[in-house]
Amino acid sequence: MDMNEHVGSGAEPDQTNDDLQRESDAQLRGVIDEYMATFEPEPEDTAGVRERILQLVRDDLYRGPSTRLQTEHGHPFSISTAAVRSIVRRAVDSVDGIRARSVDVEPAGEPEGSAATVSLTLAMRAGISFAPTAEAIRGAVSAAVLSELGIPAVRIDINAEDVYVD
Amino acid sequence: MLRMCTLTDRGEAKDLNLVNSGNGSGIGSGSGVRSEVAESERLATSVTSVPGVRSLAPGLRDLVATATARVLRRVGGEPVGVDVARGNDGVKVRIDAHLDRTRSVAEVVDEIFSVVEADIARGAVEASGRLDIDLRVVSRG
Amino acid sequence: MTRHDDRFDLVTLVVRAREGDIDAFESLVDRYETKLLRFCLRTLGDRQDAEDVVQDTLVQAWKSLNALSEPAAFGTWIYRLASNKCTDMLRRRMARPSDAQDPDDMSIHPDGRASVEKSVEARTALQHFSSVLQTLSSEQRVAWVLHQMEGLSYAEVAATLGISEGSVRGRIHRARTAVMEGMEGWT
Repeated sequence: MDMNEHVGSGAEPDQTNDDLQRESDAQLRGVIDEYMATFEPEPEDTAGVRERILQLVRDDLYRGPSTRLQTEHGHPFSISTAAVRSIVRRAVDSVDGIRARSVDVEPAGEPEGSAATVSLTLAMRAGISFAPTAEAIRGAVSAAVLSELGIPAVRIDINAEDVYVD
Repeated sequence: MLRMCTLTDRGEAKDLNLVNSGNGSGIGSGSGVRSEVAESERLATSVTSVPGVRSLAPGLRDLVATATARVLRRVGGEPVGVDVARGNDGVKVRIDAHLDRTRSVAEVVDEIFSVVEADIARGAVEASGRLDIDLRVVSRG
Repeated sequence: MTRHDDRFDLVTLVVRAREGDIDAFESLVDRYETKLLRFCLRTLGDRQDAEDVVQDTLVQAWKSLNALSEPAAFGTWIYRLASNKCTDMLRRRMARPSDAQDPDDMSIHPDGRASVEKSVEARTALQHFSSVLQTLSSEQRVAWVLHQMEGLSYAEVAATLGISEGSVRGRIHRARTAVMEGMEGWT
């Protein structure tokens, strides 16, 4: 559904009853238009609200779930799951024609958390050939997880669930 | 368990009994709490000096501590972001950190562990028994 | 996600946002905030109230994105959250008789803030219209604004509010009647 900004009369193509209503609507239209013009958001209003929203969202994110991993030197740590997903997302997005959607990173290996398994879904641009692209994605994700996280990815499952047109 | 050791405001020594009550480690351990506060600060300084650490984040205990500090009308207490807690079998150090993207997470984690262990080895933090470092990377960016 | 996110489709943004991608959520805020603010301004007639509702709506959306089963329905869903909050706020206003002001005493300034004014002489049709709107029930007012000002069809209003199309027709009809009667002689 398109919640667009266009305002029509909103009239429904119904019975004759609506003809009368359409007429009374037209009389009111001038006042309604004037009323609507009165209540236009100012850019500084939206900017202020936006900043407050994002700060509250950031605070909420910091209290979000964590993923338990372990460095190769045996030091265990937690990291916000959102931060881990973000590493993978960035790597997937870096592949031309690919947009990451859902990302899941699970601790794996022995001891648990010394490695990670990744499964992800994505949208790809129409016309992209999936098989070679999947290889490129795997390479990018594997490299990113190792260099950004410092943990090896031992499995990367990829699911293309949608196609987009630029 | 309410830990007040993350408060940096140390001016009102006589209030420390109030602050300590209810945490199970006994009333009257004023100097103990004072030293834990100093230890937290020392560790915080070491940890924030590790390249890749952007800042420390107040943990839940810090937020509770700050709220309580307001109730007790202590001013100027900033949450330190490192929490030192002593149990029966050793010391637990809790750290919530914001990292930047200059190094891999694992590298930064390893170095945080080593500076904390070094602080303990040189006696900057009193430790006997097990050392447990509970490190959480809150964000990376 | 750098600023190429303008191109990202809605489903991708929602799926990413509900997994903690704050950049994706920021894009959603960019796309919907002004529309929502405009809708709430028109419904509530008060700038501060409208801002509060939009802020609460988007923060609640962030926290409960997992409750949205169809990412593609984000637009309808967000309007529903905002509509419900507007309805609640209007109900609370009406339930406070001590706060209720005689519509004839009210004037609307160009920036939308209502204030009490003793003189009735300089009233314009616009001012009178604003006061007539305040006599509508909260349900009528929200439905009427969605239909008449946001341009939603009856079916779309029904989907947004989660009620039947018949209920929507009823509310809008009663609202329209009240507005017509109230504006008698003013247009």
